[in-house]
Amino acid sequence: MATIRDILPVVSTRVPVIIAAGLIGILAAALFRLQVVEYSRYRRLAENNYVVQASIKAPRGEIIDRNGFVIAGSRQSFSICAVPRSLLANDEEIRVLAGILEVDEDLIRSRLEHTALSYRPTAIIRDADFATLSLIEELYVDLPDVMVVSEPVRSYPRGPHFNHMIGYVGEVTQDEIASESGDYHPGDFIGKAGVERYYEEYLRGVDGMRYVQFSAGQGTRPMEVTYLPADNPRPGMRLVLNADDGLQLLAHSLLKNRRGCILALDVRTGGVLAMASGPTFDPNLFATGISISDWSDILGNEDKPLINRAIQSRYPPGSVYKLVTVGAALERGLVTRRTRFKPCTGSYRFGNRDFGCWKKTGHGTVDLVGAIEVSCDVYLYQLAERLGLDNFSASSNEWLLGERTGIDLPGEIAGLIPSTEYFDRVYGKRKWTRGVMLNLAIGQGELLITPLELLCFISGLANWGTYYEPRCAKRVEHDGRTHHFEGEAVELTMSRSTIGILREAMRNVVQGDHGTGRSARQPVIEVAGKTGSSQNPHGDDHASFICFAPYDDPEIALFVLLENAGHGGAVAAPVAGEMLSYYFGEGILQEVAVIR
Amino acid sequence: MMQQKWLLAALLALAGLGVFAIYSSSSADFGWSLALRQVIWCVLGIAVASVMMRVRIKTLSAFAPLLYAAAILMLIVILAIGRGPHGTRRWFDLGLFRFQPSEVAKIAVILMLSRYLSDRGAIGDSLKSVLGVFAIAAIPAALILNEPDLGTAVVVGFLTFPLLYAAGLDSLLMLLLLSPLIALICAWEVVAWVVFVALLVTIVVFGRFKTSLIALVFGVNFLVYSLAPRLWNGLAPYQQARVLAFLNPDNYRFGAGFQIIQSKIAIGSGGFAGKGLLQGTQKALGLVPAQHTDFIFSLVGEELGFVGGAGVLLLLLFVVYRIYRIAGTVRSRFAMYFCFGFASLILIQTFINVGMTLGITPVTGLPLPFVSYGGSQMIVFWGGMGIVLGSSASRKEY
Repeated sequence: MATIRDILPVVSTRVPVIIAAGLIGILAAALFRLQVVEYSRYRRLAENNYVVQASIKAPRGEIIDRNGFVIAGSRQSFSICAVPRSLLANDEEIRVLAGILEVDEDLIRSRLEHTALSYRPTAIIRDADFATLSLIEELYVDLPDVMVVSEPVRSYPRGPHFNHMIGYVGEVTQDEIASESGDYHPGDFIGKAGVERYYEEYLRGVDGMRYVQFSAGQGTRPMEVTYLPADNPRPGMRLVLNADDGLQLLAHSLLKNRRGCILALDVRTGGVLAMASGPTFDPNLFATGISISDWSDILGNEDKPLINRAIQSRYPPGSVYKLVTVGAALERGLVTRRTRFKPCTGSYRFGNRDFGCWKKTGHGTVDLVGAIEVSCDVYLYQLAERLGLDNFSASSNEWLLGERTGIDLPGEIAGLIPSTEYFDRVYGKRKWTRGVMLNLAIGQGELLITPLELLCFISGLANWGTYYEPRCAKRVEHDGRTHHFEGEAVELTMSRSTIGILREAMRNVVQGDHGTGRSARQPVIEVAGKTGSSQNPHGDDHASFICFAPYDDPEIALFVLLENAGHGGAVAAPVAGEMLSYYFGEGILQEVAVIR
Repeated sequence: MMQQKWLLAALLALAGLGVFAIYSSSSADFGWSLALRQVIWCVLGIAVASVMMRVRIKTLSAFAPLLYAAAILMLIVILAIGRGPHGTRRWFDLGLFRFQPSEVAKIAVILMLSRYLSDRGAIGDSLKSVLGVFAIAAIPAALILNEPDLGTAVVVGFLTFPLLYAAGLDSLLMLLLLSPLIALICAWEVVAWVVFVALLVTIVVFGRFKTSLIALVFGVNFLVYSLAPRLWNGLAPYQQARVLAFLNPDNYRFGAGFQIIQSKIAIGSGGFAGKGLLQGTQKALGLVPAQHTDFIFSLVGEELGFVGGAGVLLLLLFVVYRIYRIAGTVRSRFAMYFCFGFASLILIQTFINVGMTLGITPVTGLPLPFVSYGGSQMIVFWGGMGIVLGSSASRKEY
């Protein structure tokens, strides 16, 4: 290496240093010219330079249901804005403004705190009423730094019934400004939950720009410059939901703001037809910035209205899960549809403990299909002994229970499928008995599932082994172009014969003479379902009912869960029946009549 | 590091000024948060520099191709998965900050070129080596152009010339190589084009080049002339607007020219001594966009005046000068090329960045080295300085 350098000429650094000095010299000369030679000209320009760029907020994209009803739209509202830097320097003006707005002077100061040094107009009060606006107009001479700005505000014209699916918007936080990709400025609105959050980049438009003449003179206000063309904002894209407004409204009213959820999927596409979670609240509260008292009401509510129970709550599934247990045994050839066990006498002795059946008088001898129809616990206890914990958890995992479904909503959580490793970890090796399996077999014990996971599994049964990742949004439309959102197909690895047996058993639950879900029957079509009543530490059983219909050519899968409401067959199944009768025609005429 | 204490002092002064200017421009909207982050980037950058100092030159030379390949891979990945506003793909969102692969690519290209040239002897007029140099810069430059980031792509392309100079390329040949760029500017005016061709002919007559080379140069230049309108149409509308606004800002006063005019007013109204710390009126009106990043020099000019602005320029000139001097004293050819390229990078970027705030170069999204807000650029420039300081400390090694 040394020799190469020796035979080469040492590079001269004179030329590059001269070039560097020359280039920096060009800059210094230009700087000198601007700041020293032409100083007075630029100082004058700066003094008269009162044209400020201000943004024109783009309206968020509309969200409409499958029939075109506007679920989330925009309305124009008037905000009272002020130029922070000059208003904060004028105590008298703040006093006048506080008088008009009937708020404390310090509240105005705190609103402008973050942008105190800025001349960019900042909103003090959003959605001001007409009387306030009139007063501002009258007293404009005393309010040189205050201006009224028209801004689009999110509105949810159909009220609270779409709340958990759609979510809501709120003012962007400092953290979000720093972390979001995409430029947000203080005072901008951003989707905070649900579809509003998940599809933020589609729904949010592109803000425009206008020019505001700002003057320090007395008796004049900042005003829009009309001789300069404004750069118009581009509204966000219109998003079409899979949901049906009528069905959603019915689900909402059937819940009666109780704790629980009602969830309906189109089994042919995975489209979410309805998703109601109770209790709920009005998302319009957030549209112009929520008040502290409203916010603490929502946060303080013990029933946790912010939670979307369809995807953010885990429940013991109860008897509904018997379909999974039985499916796992059938798949392994451990039982057939004709398998009978010892008769049910109302309880079952395992080790030194009695495990009860929900029917204290017992079911007698039933076969497999019959056991599902009458939901016999004792049959399942005996089947569970044959199946074993490892097979049970393996099948659950294989059928993607206990895993997020991938729905297009933020914050989805996964259920919990206990396994041998799980019990070893929690209780220690051999510190637990095989008795846990008996509880798991009937959907009790440590087992926790989200309603959506369970309904996806049932959609798979309805559709002979295939379900689709659930999707709230059907498509977005923009400038005549559309982009469709389609959930990917998921295959349940389950044989056709097993699916056939489970489907038949589900039909008997509703259509059979002894079925527990008879109250969900429909006049013409056949319904297949399963009831559940899950014990829990919070009081009465959770009542649940899961179903699909029509039996022969399924369209809709439905899950109803009412917390601490009692027996599934008695409480949840009739609710599901009302949803189905609306979906299959009875209710549609009424709805059309209402619209007209 | 102590041997270069003045160089280090100049860098710290620049970084300190940068933090202050960032606070002044962003405190209205963000309080201390951006300035504090910049302090963190600066500390991280210095930590990276002190690590890079200790890496041996031979190790760097050995790893140069790997780093280069990694940089290209990152540029490809960002094009494939990047998601920025308006369809741009310039950075990875790492939560805490946005990582810009193109910043790393600048250093990677210099390292790779240093390796390529140090493996060869004096370049003389070997066209093959020249084409190799162009190819090394062209691949990342093309990827960066697609992000799209015209400014950075141009900088990466321009890095080849100082390195070719350092490799001893004949200076007339260098002019021939630069001629297509000049042709691109002259292609719009018949008079300019005639003068350009006449000059080209003069160079060729005095240079005694191979016939094939002459044919190639003329061919490329005429191709540039005929394709110029096509190249122009290939630019994005905002890029065209920036060029037109640069040529005549008053016609674009409220569009692309807005930034240029506002920046000039802010600087010009600063006068000789400036309006004083935190006293900038143009800044407070929010008139100059991107004032904590690309347009930071306009804030320095407004608040600290000619004294402050010229001070920043002198500090940067001193930094560039010292690195060129180090390049002249190191024995390792690899280190020499690296220092040469890195000093030129700082110089080119300073010229384009400060030039745009003064209205003498077009508006591009290039940061002012060591001063502008940004994690990627701070870490990359400090990292490069670490290599320079390491080269200086071991200048007797081959």
